[in-house]
Amino acid sequence: MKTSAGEDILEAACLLLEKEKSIPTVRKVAGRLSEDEDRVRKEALELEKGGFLRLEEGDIIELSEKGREAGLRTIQKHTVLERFLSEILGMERAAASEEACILEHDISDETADRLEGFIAVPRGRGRRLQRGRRRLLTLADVPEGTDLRVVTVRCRGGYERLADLGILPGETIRVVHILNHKAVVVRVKGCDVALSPEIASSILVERLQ
Amino acid sequence: MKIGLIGNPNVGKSLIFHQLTGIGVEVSNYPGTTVDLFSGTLCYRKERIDLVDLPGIYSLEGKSPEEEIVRNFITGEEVEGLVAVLDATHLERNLYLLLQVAEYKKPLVVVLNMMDEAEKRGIEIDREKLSSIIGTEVIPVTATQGKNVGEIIPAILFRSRTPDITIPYDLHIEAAIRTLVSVHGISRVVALQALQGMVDDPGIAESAGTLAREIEEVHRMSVQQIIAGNRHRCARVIAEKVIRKREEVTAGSLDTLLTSRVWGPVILCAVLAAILLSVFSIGSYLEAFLVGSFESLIVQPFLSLGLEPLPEQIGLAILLALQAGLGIAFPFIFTFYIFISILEDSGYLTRAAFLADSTMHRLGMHGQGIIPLILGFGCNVPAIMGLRLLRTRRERVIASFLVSMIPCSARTVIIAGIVAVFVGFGAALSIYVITFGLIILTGIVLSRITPGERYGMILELSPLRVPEPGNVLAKSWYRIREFLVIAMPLLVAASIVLGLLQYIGFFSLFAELVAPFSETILGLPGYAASALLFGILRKEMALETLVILSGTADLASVLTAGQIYVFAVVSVLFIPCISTMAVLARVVGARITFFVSLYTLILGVCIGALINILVV
Repeated sequence: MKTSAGEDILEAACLLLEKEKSIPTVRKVAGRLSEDEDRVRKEALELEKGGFLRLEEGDIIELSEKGREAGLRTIQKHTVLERFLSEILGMERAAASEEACILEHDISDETADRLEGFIAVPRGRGRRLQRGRRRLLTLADVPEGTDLRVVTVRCRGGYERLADLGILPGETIRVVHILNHKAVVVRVKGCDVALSPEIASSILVERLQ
Repeated sequence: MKIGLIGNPNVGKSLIFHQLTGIGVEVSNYPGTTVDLFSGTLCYRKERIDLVDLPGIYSLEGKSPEEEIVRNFITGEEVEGLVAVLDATHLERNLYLLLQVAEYKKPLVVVLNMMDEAEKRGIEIDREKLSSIIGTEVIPVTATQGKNVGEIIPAILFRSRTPDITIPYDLHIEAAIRTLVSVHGISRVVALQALQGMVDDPGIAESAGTLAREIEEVHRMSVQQIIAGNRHRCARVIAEKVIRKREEVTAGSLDTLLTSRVWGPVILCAVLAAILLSVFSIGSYLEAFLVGSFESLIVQPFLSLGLEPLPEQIGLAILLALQAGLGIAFPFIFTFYIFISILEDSGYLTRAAFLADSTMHRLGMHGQGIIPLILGFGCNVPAIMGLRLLRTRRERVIASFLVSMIPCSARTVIIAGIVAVFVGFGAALSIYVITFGLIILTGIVLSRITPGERYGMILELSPLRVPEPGNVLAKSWYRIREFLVIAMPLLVAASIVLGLLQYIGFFSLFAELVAPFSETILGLPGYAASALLFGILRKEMALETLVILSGTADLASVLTAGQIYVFAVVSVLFIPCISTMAVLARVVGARITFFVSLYTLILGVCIGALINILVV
């Protein structure tokens, strides 16, 4: 049976093998975990009974396939949790790592996988959006009567009114009027909205075919 | 029972409000702001209902004073129900606000207004479906014809329900809401507001800020935009489900003409000129009548009472103030408000703002800034109140200088009353030219030197409609009442002070003291300077005082044409009247009011001196 102390040992042994390319021993593992050597040895003997590893001459830990898998899995959980805590929740890296050390033992495989997907997907989404950008038009560059899709609204802060009126990325709008100095009237959701030039030029759009 | 009417601007909320409450409406300023809250009481089956007409808004989660007031109002304990008014012709856009209102979980009734117009455009709305989606009763109403308006009160009293619709937000937003709700024990609404940076508690603000930053990083959009996007999507889904037939709205030919590049500005100038001319012709006719009858019916009998000198002086001062208030308020300001309300209700005012945007830019403002400037021609007081239309303090400061310099109807009385009569029509026009030139110069200079952020114009062009006469009258009436409430007490108080000063002989002393100064610099006799002082009370009082102090109505016999001209220029330019100063202090603060007064004083004296040296 794996305990959290056991998982820690498997994780540490795995890390030593994979990352540092050194042969894991009870002493090295205890050093990594800042644990007492005797306690690590006692725990390792338990793991040996479970078939996760074999304790060889000179306290060398030899991981079985099952033990290697369990160790890697814990490392993955640790990384996912650490990233989630620091990147999504905004915790300090060190604190996140410490917290991940505790959480990694209780979290199910499914939760870990889902968390990993959660962290990865939106980033991909953001990149796709950037790749898709070709020539950027602003609302001030198009002639009257053009149908457009809003790509980005560059102005931030104080411009929530634009979003309230429906001028948002993804929304389709039409330019109804343009005055000489580039103030525009756009039709959005059946309503006409007048925008002054500096706002019009900060709204990036693309033509609808 | 307290009920609030809530909705977007231009959905006919006020019309419904006036139809439900009739007369007896209270206008109150929300504490600490200049936003009006109209409230009225009505009775239905012995139940007393306080109905409040909330200002029209697009969102409940913005930082504008209107939005804050509505938010505070609907989160308040004593509010027992809300009537959400929706424009049936723009259902999708209106649903956006309704969805936000629904999040507050207050008993609600939904009113679909402008059903006649929707029918005309071939829009059919499945009300039962809408009602089942939102979870409240939906009442179709045509407020312009008063159709079904009577259904609203029984519905809100007996059949209002808490809406049970929930907006599905983006999963990151939902996750952040859940985190905030569970960590801080706050409601979903508060969590949403916290994510958008609208929370006071530092602990919640900090964790919400962290979550919001992470979400923004991932989405490359502001949290506000994501949330707004989700709400708009939800609104669209509902609109697609309940609207059976949709027709693409095309701009009418009239609208195209009004906002066209060539004709738009021409029409705008023509409309403004026509309004100013008719206000002055109607106003001066009414003023002569009102002031004349006040004089013969009240002032003269009072003087013939033969009171002691001091009470007589004080009584006369009060009567003069009342006469001044009535003489200006009703003939000029009320007439002017009627025209402005027509412009506003017809939807033309927003088009005027759009057309004026480029010109107003040079003066350091945006298109909306033209509205207070136009109002200023009637009276500076309501124009200054109108400064709340402007979004940034920078624009308000610039506008407060410019509006205070706009020749209001009282100043026009001076220009028309003495310059046009004693000097000539061309001279009268030249005063306007000088004033406008100075306003433009001031605007250009101020736009360069005034600090503060700039904010662009985002303005919905309200649909063109034929204004409702009842609504126009009601609006004008409430506005004039607002003016009377602010200006009247001040007029009376200032008039008493001036009366007392006159009684103790201050003015002859003042005339003597100021005579060397006014004679050398402005070329005016000392008593004319005292007359100018009266102009602070009410601009055209300078003229009346001048007549009294010079002892003759035929000013040409005591003053030269040059002196009359200088007198008029100085009194038009220098120091806004006391009522204007009072509202200025409320809207932009005492410091700016002081600077405006100082600037106009210096400007008036300098221009007067310049004309005296150059021309006379």
